[in-house]
Amino acid sequence: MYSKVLSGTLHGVEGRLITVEADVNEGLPVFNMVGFLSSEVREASDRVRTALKNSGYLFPPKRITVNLSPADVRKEGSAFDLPISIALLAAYGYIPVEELKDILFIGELSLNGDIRGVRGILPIVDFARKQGIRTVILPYGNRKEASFIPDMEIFGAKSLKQVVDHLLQNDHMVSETVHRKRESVSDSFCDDFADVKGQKTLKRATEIAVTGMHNILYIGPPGAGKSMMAKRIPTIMPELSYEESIELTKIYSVGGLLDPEEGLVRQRPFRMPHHSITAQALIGGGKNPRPGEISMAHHGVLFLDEFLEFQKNIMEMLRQPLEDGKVTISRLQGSYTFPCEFMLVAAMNPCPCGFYPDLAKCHCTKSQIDRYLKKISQPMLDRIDMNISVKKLDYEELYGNQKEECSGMIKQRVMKAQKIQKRRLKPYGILFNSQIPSRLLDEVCKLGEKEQKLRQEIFLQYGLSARGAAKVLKVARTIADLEHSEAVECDHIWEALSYRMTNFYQGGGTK
Amino acid sequence: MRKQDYYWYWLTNINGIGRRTIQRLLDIYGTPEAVYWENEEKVSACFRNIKQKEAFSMSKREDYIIHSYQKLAGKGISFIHRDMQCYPKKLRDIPDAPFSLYLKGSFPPENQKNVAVIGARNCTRYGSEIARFFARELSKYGIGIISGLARGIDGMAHAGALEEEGYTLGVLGCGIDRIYPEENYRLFMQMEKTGGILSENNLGILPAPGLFPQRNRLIAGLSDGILVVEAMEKSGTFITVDQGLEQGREIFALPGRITDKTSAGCNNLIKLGAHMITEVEDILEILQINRKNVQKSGKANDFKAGVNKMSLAPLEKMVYSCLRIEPKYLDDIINEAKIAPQEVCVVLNRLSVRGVIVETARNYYAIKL
Repeated sequence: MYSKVLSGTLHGVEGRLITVEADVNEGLPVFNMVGFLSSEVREASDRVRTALKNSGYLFPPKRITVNLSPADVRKEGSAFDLPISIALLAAYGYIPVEELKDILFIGELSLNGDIRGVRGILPIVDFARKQGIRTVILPYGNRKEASFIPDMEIFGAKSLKQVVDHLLQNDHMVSETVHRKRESVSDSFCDDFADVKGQKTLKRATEIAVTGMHNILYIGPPGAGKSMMAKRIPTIMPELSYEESIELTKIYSVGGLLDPEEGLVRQRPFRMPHHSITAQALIGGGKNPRPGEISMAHHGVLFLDEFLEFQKNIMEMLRQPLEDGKVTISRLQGSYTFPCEFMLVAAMNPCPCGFYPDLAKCHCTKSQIDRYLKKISQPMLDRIDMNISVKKLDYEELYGNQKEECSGMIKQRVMKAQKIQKRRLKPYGILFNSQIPSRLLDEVCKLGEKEQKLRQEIFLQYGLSARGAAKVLKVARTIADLEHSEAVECDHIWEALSYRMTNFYQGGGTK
Repeated sequence: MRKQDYYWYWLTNINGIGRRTIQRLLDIYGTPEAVYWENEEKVSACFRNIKQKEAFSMSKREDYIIHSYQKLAGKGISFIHRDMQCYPKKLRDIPDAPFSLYLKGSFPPENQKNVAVIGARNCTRYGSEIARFFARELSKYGIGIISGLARGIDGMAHAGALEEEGYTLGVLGCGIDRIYPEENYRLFMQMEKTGGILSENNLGILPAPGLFPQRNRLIAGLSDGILVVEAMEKSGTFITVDQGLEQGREIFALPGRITDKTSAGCNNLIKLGAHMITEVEDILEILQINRKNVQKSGKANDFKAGVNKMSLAPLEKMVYSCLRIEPKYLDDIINEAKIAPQEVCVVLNRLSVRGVIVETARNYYAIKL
């Protein structure tokens, strides 16, 4: 007898529907599976057979053929165990075929018939919804994650037996309530801007960078507080919107990094890969591509500490994703696109020993420093809007009683300024000042006569490149937004100059 | 190529035959021409080892010598030997004067006073600023600035002279065509045109430690006074100073704080009797320079008065007063001025565009002299 069950698989961060067909016929007892399967899908036959037996369903020896279609999509992962066993049960007549219509099944089976969680549920369920499917039966551990897709009936099943009982309407499972509304967001950040003492420049620059989502490079000696500051950046970013959350959850779901109890990613990601990271881990990759760190940092912060210690070719790979906000990985079976709109925060030492320009500690020669700084390429620097030095704090600053602003207050300012930005940039289809393309720059950052004169003056004085000048202007636009000023004024440009990218050290240290 | 030039060029370019051997040969035979035509067996008696003998017997290849000489001319380099008119008089008088020189640009005019501005390669910003300041101010009086085109003080001294479009001569320890260190590339290009670059070594000689003391004797030889800006207790600078003393040059030294390692050498010099220099006037007086035609030069220690004249806004004045010659980090300025960070940034950038201050490293600011 023939039966047909719906299931799904992943393609990048998107879902695909897969039809699982089973046919049981007289003949030699074999279990045949076809349909461009990877080895873990092939192994399903043994798991399914044993799980069915241990759940109390008997199989008279017959010729079994299972087909997963469309046949040109490679099927990977263990999520087909459940649909295959349901299709078999239907083919053997345990379940009426009509009961299976328009139900999506996902899940891995263990030998005793329990259903285990799998990764990548959210994109599949989301895709199923778009295809008009309204009912999904999936592992109990994945039910939270799936419940964020609206208008769906989600059943989290713990065992095969439970699924069959449900389908035969012996015993109903309870459908998971949909968490459409945001639960009270637990502001579980234990870090706060107030923890960082002093460092006014660092804080101000960071606030500006976050507001306009400008990439920023910190340069300073070890122990100056670069990493400490970077870790606190998510605390001043606005909370994730529902759409952003879903988008991120899809990525994390595909990457298998989702907390089963939480279900949804609610916090801005902060990713801090070690500098020994491989290209695949950073950008995304693998035979069946999975998102890399840059996609995990989507809508959040990618912090590269010890920026110069990263392999040069890996750093260069960041260039295209930084520009496009997405990364495309091509494989034989097709190309996969992962979103990666993140804010890059990089930190590095000014010289090999780390203490320049403090000549009391630094004994690096000019050529050593030059060689050290050469590791970073100009095209990479061109993609970073802001650059500041960080200095170690003095004793008084470190242990003084000065009151520091807390993250909450800064966040308010950032949110307000971002709102202004979004309103202005909406017609152009972008969200942040850092994304303004150069052709729109003059239109978005209108300059008065005085400001234009100033631009000319600094352009000549500092020998800025066209790109350098554009970056200064973008940062000035963000500063103006923070000050709720409609026009970019001279003072905004002057301040932006302090954060521009320079060829770091033109010489002259302090004693 | 005149006949005489040919013989000099030949004699000073034999591999392995150095100044001392040449001196011995000239003591015996008088002129390079005489050495050239003398019986080889006889000349060989003056050599210390077989290597020199071999090199000597291989050396008389006329086409090669002419070709190599023409190559120099093609690069705009002049070959100057002791029998020429243009050979600087000051050099002729020093002990162990060089036989031949290679020059791009020009020698300092004979009646011009020259000051060598020298010091450590690894200098502080204070040192490099002062070197630039003194070189610039001395140039205003038509004093030539001589130095070694090295990193640090040397380069800044040349740069200061060029700012005032004064004459400046760089003496190299390597071959005349080598640009070392590379960061001084621009100085090299500019000095070739408006000043001079001098070396005792022919094309292609790599910088080697042994060559620098030789160069230092030329620096001392060409100048009337030697100004030591910054030097550690043990420094190559003192080779120049020693040779200057031997040659009877004035020694000037800038005092520094006794805790600064980079000024220990200068302070030692003063202790030993060098002239202590605190303003440009001091040097002019000792060298007996006519000061009438030039308007009074600035003093390093009253640059603040100068800035007052520049009519700074009150806020600018306040920020400016927090700055020193030593670079200061932005946060320290903010804390000292007690103004909002954004305002300090605005003022600092305004001042640096006006050229009053300079950003030495990212977010480190210092006063410009």
